Amino acid sequence: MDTKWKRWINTLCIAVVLCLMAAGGVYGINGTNGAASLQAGVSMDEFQENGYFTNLYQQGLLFQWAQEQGYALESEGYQGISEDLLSKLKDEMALDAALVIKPYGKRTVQEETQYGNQKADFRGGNTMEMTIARDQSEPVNRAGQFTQWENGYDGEYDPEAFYQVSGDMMITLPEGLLINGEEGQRLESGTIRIRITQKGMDLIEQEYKKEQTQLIQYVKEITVILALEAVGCILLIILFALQEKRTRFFRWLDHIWWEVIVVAAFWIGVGILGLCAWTWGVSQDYATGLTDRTQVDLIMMICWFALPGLIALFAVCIQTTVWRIKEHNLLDSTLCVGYFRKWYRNSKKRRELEYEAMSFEQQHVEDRIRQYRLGRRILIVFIIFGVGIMNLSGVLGLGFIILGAVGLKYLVRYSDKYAAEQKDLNKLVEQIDRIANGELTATTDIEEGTIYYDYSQKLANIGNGMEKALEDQMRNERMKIDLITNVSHDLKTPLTSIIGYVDLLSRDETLSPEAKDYVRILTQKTERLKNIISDLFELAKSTSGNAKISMEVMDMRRLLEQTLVDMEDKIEASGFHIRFQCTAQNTKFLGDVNRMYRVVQNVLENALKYSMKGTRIFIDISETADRLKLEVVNTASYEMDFTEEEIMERFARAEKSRTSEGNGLGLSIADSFTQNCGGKFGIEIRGDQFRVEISFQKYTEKVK
Amino acid sequence: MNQTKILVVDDDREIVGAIKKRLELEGYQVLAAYDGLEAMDMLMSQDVQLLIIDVMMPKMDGLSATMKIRESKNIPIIILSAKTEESDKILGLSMGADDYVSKPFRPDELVARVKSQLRRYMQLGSMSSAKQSKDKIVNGGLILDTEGKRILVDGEPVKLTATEYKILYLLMNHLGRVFSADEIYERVWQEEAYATENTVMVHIRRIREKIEIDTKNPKYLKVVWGIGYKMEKMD
Repeated sequence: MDTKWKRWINTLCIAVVLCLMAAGGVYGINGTNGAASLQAGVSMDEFQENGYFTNLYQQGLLFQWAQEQGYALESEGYQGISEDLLSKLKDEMALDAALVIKPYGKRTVQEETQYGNQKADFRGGNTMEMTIARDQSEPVNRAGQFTQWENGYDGEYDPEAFYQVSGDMMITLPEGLLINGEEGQRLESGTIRIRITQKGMDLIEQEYKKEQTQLIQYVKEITVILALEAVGCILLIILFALQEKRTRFFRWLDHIWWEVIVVAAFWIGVGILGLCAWTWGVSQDYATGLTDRTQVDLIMMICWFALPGLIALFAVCIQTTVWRIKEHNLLDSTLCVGYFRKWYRNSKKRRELEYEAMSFEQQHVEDRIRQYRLGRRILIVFIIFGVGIMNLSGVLGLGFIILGAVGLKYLVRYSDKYAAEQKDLNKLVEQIDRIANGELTATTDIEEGTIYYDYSQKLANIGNGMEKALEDQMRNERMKIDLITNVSHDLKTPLTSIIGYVDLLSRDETLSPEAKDYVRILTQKTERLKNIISDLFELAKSTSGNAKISMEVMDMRRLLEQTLVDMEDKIEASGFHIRFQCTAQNTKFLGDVNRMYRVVQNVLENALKYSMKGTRIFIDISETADRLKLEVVNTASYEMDFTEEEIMERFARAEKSRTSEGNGLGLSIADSFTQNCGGKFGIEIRGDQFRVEISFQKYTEKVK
Repeated sequence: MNQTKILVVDDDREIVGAIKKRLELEGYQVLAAYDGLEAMDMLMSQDVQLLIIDVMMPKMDGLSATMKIRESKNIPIIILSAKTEESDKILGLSMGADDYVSKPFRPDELVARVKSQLRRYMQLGSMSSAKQSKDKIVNGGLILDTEGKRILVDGEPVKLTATEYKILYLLMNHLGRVFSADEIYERVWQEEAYATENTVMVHIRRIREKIEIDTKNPKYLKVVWGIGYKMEKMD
């Protein structure tokens, strides 16, 4: 599948999982809230057994009555009870109250009240009775008002503190019933009886059971959701791990120290759990009547909005962690481990670099010297250890000290010797380098008697020998050149005279026809002699290795074209046809222009001289990957009973017995000149086919 | 013309004899000397129009003599030498010689060079103002007359075809610069060059036949083998 598609599907999956987790979280918080707001959630079984809930509903009836009487506020007194059930229970409960009320500044009033369904069947039911009497110890003013209450309720005094209540004291009394500032009266004494039928108690029992099942349901749901959230986290981890490319948007996250991520994730988790706990607490407050519904709803709303965000943040933390693991840099990305690891790695790298920066010999020496150094340290530790344990065991300690000291002494001696030898070796290496760089007479100051002394001396001898050989060779070379120059001069001078006088002779009209013929032959032969001498010295010079050549970029094709035009007369006179073909694209090469002209000229002249009448001479320029090749092929006019080697010998003649204008030096000169220019010259004889091949390295901008 | 005096100097008497005889056949008056000092004396005492001098000689070699002579005289000097190295030639010319002939030489060639040098020498006196002229390009013994579309070789007018003139004009305006055949073609024919090597080469050859003494060993119009052509810069 396409990578892009994979990425999209991955992202989609992550989004879906995140949404589900958020929804689950919201639903879970809802469940928490529901569970907490149930009475069952705050009660225990024994409470029910002691009639706690029955009493709560009985108290509810009291407050309902008190409200109707104006003794209680509307919201007061319904903590932990269902108002629906209370209204249902009204028929099953009855309240009788006999109260003595003292309006301030007036006489006490007797009041008898009956509330609820007096006719209900109260057999088997529960009756709650209490007697309320004023605490006689509390001072009362003339109007009958408690002195301490004179200024009204200031929050410090609980009205119940002024009364003594006896009987079933499980319930709270409506404050307005005791001291009623608005009506301007207070209770002197009274008896209150609240009855509930068996049926009513059963109803309460049922309600309680119902809530308990619901609570179990809620708890189950929360558990399942918690499990699902965990699965969601695992799924997220897998999905993140499957991601192939980290989006650039999240890249910066990976550079944050991992500890920060962990702390953040921890606090986000704490935040999520805190939200749950908060709703739980608030719901419980609601269940016990400390908070009203609107506040609970507000908090629930906050939770619903905050939770998905927190889950998403948590997911981001997971993602960056997963990526760090995937890229094997989780530990590196931490502050404590990562920093030290990086530091360690860098210093290791530095040491390696330093090691590599050293030459081979230095590395070798470094290794050995390090070993010696380590050995010395170990022995010093031995001695210290020996001193240390002297207290424990004198003999053992002394043994360690002696062992360490003796070992150290020898080791120091050897390591010093090694270092000194190494120093000499370095000098020897330096000497080799110097000789290699052309300083043949290089010597060293290695002391006599050390192990490298002999080698250094031998090396110096080799260097001196080479220097001498080189000098000899150079002298020989010079002598050779001098010889060539001198012989050249000695040959040319008489020849000049001969040519001059033969020329004068040829102008003498008085000569007999016979003598004129002789002079003509003399002219021809002196001309040839002149050419031979000239060729001979050119060849001698070029093979002596002393010829000055100036290399230039040349074009092989152009060279051939120029030479062919230059030799047009000769070619026409010879009557041969020349087929010239060039298949090479790049015909550039490096050569000495004048020498290369001589090469091509000589090869072509050779072909013209020795080809069979009526045959063609083929010239072909071709190229390989890096070489340029010139081929000249002609058909010999005679049987070539010699080998390639023979013809290359300097004075070999194409045909030994025949007299012709050639002097046999042409190909030798061509060979020598080609080599002077760095090319290769080759001859191949196959039957009557005579083939010359000249090849050069192609010139491109890169090859210089 | 018969009054022209030529001094031939060489330590080899036979060579001097042969040259002397040959030049006398051409109608010149020839003096002979056998070493550098003798040549110097001769030059002082005689009115010599041209000097032919060998390099390797006892007492004073040809190059030193040339240098000495150049201090007082501007007559043409032709150097003879058994050395054929290009560097020897350059050395000789830079010492003040006008031409260089390597031994062994054909007497005809020497005669041609002598004639050429003398012609130039004679002309130069009367045409020394030509160098400044706008419609003349001068290079050694060559004077390209841009007005008459012709060339004077050592003072002797030579006819040129229009193409030959254009090629010479191009080369003489850029003395020493090497032109490839394609470049010459494009500049002279004003067309894109395609397989033009032969055309240009043939023209160059014809020009060479007209302006050079020895076409096999050209002095002015040189082939740079495998690269192109150039007009050598002359003093």
